[in-house]
Amino acid sequence: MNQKGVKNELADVIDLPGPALSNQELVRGLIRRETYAARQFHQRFGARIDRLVWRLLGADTEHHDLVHQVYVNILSSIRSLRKIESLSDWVNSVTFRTVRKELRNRKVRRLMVPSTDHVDAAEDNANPQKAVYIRRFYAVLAQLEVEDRMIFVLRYLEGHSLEEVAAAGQYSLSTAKRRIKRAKEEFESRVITDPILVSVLKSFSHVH
Amino acid sequence: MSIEDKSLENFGRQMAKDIGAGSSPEELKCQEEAFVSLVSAGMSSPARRLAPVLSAAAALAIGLASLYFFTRPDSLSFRIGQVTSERAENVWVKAPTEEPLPVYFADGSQITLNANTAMRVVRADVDEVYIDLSQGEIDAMINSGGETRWTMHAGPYRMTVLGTSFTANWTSSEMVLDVTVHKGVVLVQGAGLNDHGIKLAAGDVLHANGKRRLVSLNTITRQHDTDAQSWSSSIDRSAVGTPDQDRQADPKSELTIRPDSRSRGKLPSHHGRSLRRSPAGQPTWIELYQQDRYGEAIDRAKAQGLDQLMRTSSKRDLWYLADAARNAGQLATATNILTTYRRRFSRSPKAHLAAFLLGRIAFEHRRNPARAARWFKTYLNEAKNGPLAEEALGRLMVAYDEGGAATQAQKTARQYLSRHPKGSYAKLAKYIAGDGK
Repeated sequence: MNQKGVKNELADVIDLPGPALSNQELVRGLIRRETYAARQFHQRFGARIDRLVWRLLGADTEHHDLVHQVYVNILSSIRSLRKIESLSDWVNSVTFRTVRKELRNRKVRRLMVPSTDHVDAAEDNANPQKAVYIRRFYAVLAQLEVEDRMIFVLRYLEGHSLEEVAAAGQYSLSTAKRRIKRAKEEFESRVITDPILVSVLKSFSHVH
Repeated sequence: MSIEDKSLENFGRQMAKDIGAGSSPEELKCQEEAFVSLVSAGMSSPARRLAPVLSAAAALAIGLASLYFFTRPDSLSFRIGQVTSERAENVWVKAPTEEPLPVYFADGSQITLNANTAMRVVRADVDEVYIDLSQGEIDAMINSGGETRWTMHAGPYRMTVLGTSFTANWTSSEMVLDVTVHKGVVLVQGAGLNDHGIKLAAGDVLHANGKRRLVSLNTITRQHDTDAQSWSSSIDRSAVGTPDQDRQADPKSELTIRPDSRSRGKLPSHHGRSLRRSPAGQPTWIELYQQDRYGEAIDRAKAQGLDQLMRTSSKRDLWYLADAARNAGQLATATNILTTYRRRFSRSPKAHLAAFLLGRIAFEHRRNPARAARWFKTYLNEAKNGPLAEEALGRLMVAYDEGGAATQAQKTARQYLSRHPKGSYAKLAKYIAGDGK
């Protein structure tokens, strides 16, 4: 092939990351094991999955393993995805269920083997006070039922709407509403025993 | 106490801000590589990567209490330590601090978990075994019967082996993988390595840092190893930019003992050759390339005159230039260089690899199945039994299918199945050929 031929060959080549795939193309690509689909899927959802796991669990030695597990679960169940248009909600839901299963397993596991490998929330050497708040916050969360804990994080840390909480937990709207209410009450009843967190809450001024 | 919803929302927002958004960009990149690795491996079985890090006794206690015992005709039974449980799939085990913990497989293979190492067997079939290494060091002696494909995951890395003996050490907190091959061949893929990965032969020591995306490859000794000799002829080291020719050109690279590969952190390329600096005293493009600064390397090469470089560079340098462009994501430039490489060095084995890479760029990045199919066919014509022949045939099939060439896709699928009945595209090939469910 001569130089001119090469140039013609490359005439339509441009440095672009490639067209954004539709949900349908993304799902199809994953089923077909296409790496470009995997990369786009990760670009679209990776940071969110990671953040959700991070906030649901707190900084955790198993964070990356759990994120990995979310991906494994996504791949093993993607063929069962029915509403392609709800891909985003479905990803949230898989993440939610993966973390929920892990938290439940941990409860069982602790009955048999004392946990030593779990660390509390992220340490921040520059702001140790913040680290204390976070540790205590997760200590309160750890007292809640798994479902309540997760719903509380989704609703109040992640700022999910009622509909989004319902989609993630696969609840009806009325059930989601009831569970958010219960999670809030459970959190309130426990946080009151922690004077430091109460002082933080009071700084937001609407505590009665 | 009753807290207004608005206050709790503000509290939650502040707490969320303090907790942070999760992993660093480097860690996210590692996650991406791990995900891509999962997708390309077609790993659809429930492979739980969580590492409860149980003691062996506790794990087995749980295992014996709640294990999912079952017997499939194609299963490969194994036992952990002296406990003769028939199967313990998906149970994490951790070796005690004082002594190693061996896992014996029915085909004679053995994986020994050194102290404090945690691992699990995700699946063990006669044709495929999946293992997750959570933390620590394993010594693997895989039976060379060649029937079973062994895949070991460690974070974003995947090691694929047939018959071999090697040691792998995975430090999950640092995302560092060290692999030393004693016998046979190990293919390592994942973060910091290109998609093909790198095949390690006996005596090779790989140090890969997923966080820093650094890879170093050293040879501690070349053992007499028939397997390695027969396999090494088809080894593709291009994945980390260390072409075969370079190593062969310098016999020292095969013989030199480099006991501290970890401290090097870089590829042993160029063999200490003094590199000419640019007139302004700035590093040359090739120095930037060696420092994994691919984007800057290409910018420097362009400033120097890419056309002239493509005309005058040596075979090795031109390959590095293409590698830099690909790693920098400058795919038009990479295509241009690879095409030039094929024209200038058409008899080089790398010319075949260039065809394969051009196919991948056309397919994965430009979404041009027709052009991709042409390049994969070119590769197969030129290297019918090359190291990427199976992959090229599988991709050719997919490219035809994607391009709407159903008849050719079916024909290629049948061809693939006849040549590689247990290949990585076999399930898809059955589906396309119409034999799948």
